[in-house]
Amino acid sequence: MNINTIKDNDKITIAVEGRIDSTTASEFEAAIKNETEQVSELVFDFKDLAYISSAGLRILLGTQKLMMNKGKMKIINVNETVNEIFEITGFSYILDVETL
Amino acid sequence: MVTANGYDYALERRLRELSPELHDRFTESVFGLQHILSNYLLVFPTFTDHTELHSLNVIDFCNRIIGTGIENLNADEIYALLMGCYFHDTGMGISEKDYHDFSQKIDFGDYFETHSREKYSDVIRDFHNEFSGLFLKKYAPLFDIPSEEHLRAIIQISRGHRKTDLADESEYPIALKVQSGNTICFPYLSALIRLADEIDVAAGRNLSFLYDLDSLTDQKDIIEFGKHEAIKEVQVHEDKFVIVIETDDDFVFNNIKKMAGKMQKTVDECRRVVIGRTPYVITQKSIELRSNNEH
Repeated sequence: MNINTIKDNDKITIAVEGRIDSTTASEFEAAIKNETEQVSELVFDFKDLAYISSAGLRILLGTQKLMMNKGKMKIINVNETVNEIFEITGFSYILDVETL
Repeated sequence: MVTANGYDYALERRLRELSPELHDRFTESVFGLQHILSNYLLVFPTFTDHTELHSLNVIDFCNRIIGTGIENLNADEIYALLMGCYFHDTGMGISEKDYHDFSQKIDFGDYFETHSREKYSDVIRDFHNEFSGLFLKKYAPLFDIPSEEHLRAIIQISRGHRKTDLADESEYPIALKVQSGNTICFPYLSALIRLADEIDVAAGRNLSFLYDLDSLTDQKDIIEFGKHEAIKEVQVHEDKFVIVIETDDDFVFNNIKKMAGKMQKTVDECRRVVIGRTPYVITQKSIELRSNNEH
């Protein structure tokens, strides 16, 4: 998994490449902890995200809880595979998602 | 149902395949439930996570415990199980008014001979499975549950994640018939949640950016979080659960050993009920500790 971040004042875009699963989830969690402290707008760019397991989904939902107190969170460029996961779990109703 | 990603989301996928209608009812319930589940933080601000993040883990562990056995579950059973995974802890976040109303309906036995009635949070923690059942009974109309039989199943499965007697046929029937012609096996589904919940409560770590672990002052919480820090992974194999630990601290290690003993008792009890009463099976027989340090 590769994580690239772009900061623009209090907005940050986190682009994730590869897989977020039980092996990479702690790295993803640490990146969020480090990068979102002084941020009021968080965008996840999932264009190159191949897969997200339950461990990753849990972090994403936790991040949304965090951002609810600070500003907003959006997930963009979601591909079919990842969008299917949001749909079968019911989280497409909860997360702000834009598909590719 | 085993995909390139193992058993990930197997229950959700299988439900959508067998009954898109029940799957829709389930996913629509998730939206409302995530708000309700967050209420537990008002009662237990430093307690291990019991929101939908915990529910996700419980579903994930159920998927792994069931494994290839998912082919034997019908749509109504999967729906009841998934809903139970979300509802089982709703009793942790009830309002004060509901607490007082529900308390009139719970048999506390001799509990208050040794516990204070004033310690609202302790009573909720110790009887939260019963509060979850009563919560569900009261608020069921919000969740578009398809029938009284489904509601009964979800209530009993949610209650059954703790302390209830899964061997009792009147409370936990092995084949309750629903309108579709399918039957729901209460003891098997309850045993799955009981096991998955115990594994996650023991091992699940709160997300570091949501909880300030340095602010803990309660000794019980400190011990719990010490264990969570040391447990790196819980692997679900076909025949056993493996808890992978990394700690130099003998106190933490001994606490994990004690916890593993308790988990083994739950495994034995769930297997005894499932094998003895149902056509299903729980293949995992033991809890194994795997430490990267010497003790």
